[in-house]
Amino acid sequence: MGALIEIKDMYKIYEMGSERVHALDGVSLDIDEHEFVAIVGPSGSGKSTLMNMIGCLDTPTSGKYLIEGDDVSELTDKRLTVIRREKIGFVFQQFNLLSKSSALENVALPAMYMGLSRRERLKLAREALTRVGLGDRLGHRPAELSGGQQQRVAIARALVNKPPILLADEPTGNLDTKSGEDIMAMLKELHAQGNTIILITHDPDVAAHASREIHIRDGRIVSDTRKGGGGQ
Amino acid sequence: MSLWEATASALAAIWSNKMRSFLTMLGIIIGIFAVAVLISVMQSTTNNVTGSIEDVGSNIIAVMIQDRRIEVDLKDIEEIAGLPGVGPVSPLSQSRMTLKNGTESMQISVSAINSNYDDILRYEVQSGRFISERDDSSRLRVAVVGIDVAEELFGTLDVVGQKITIDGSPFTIIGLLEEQGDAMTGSGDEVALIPLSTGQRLMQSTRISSIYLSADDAQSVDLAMKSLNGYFSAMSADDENAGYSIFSQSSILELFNDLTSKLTALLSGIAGISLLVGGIGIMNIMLVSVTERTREIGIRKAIGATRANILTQFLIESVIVSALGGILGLFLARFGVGVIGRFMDMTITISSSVIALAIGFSMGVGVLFGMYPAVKASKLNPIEALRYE
Repeated sequence: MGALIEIKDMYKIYEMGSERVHALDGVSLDIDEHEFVAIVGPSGSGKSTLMNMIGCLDTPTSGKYLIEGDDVSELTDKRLTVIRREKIGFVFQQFNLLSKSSALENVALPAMYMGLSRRERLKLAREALTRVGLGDRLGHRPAELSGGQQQRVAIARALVNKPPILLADEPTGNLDTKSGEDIMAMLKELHAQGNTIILITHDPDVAAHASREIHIRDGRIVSDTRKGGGGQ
Repeated sequence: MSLWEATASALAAIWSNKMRSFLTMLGIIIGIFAVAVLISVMQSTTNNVTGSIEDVGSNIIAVMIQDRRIEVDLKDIEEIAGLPGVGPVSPLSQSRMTLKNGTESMQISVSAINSNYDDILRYEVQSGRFISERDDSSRLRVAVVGIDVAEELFGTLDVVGQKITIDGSPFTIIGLLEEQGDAMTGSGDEVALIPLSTGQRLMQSTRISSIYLSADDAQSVDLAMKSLNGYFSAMSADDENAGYSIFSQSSILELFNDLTSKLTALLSGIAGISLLVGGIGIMNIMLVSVTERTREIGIRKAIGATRANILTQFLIESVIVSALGGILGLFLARFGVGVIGRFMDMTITISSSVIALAIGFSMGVGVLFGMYPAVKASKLNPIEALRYE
């Protein structure tokens, strides 16, 4: 079996008036199971576009994208949605929790779209929240939680469907240093438990936590380094 | 996500924005209120009138003569009585007159009739007697009155033998009719009957403009109608316009039902416009809601909601807002028909068909006008929606 994620010669070209912008300019990339990868680059480097591609939120102009060997580069919107909810857990910079729902309901949401019964998904959500250390905050709404706690709720939500890929977009970007470190520690721990984590960041200090760093600039990969002791 | 859960979450969303939800519903509330009240009033009136027409008896036939060139005299009445299928016949001349007892007075339509009239209309006197042939032939100034007239002029039902004046001429009350209840043309108890000959003198006219008669039995109604048609078409002066109309109970019912159903349709159509306005209100608010919740939609889509999930969510919300409006409108209508019923002095009920229609219609409005915003929400691009502030 090949890599968990295979990207081959991916291009994403936007037409901005008469100009053609190459947000991704021929990216090829493999990510194996159980890796902890940081995709690093300044803003405008194309890392967000790459994240949208990996997260199946967008489709490339050309090139191939395989998850677990399945080509998803030309799927319909509906199939992409199914891939998102089964294969990918998202953690966003702005947490992106539903403000009117409790932590438990927020975490249970992906399981609801999976079609699980209310009982089952609340059970899974409770487990996931316990896993991120918020077993005592189930009924709290996002506004009643600190930033770090909100991001942990978001991580629990990303985990609830047990997807093979955890995709974190600047997960510490909206947090103070201490909370940011807590979140990174948690991601590392999840990695140690066997999750595949893909981290998108502009911050070299955050990227340093990963076992592999892929630097991207102007839509191209400029370096790809695996660190000793990381990766498996 | 089950339908029940979707409903529960839609209710939560509606509840979290109570004032706005209520204002959104208002159009539907008013629309359903108007439709339900109108239809209920029409239905109850129809039932009432149909009932009173049926009470009158199924053999009754009325001939109305509009064309003044058709002159019907007493000889014709005799001839009509001899036609096949025809039973007792009475001419009827009506005129508004003033009835007086001392200083008490009232203006009512006085009917000049012959002694058959009570048989045809199934009138009974509760005291005294009905107008006899002799009263008619002798042009006696006698009158039979309904209880409303007795109450109004004398304040008592003990009126047989009392004197009144009708348009200034002295009359003696010889009979008091049994209570009739409400009829098609207002109170059936506000009547005064006098002999035809007396009436013709009083009205200074021998013209007979309508004839009431009874068929021999229920089976002879068609035969009697046919004979009457033959008789009057021979008298008719004009080929194109017959100048007379013959009604049997069933033809009156038909006419009436036709009229009321047209009227109901017209009125509901007008009331339906307010439903349309209500629907547009719902669409408007749902579009605002979709814009406000762009980010929520983006989140839901990112974590695995399909277009159908989002569409269902918003559609259910608009259907529930609309259905709740419909239910509130029905409650209001129940109150409304109670008030109207008191005014019209009859019991108006909201039938189950009206309830089903109202709820069905309001839900339909919710689907119709919620569809566009829901489709719009479901088509949002998750990347852009997540970026939305």
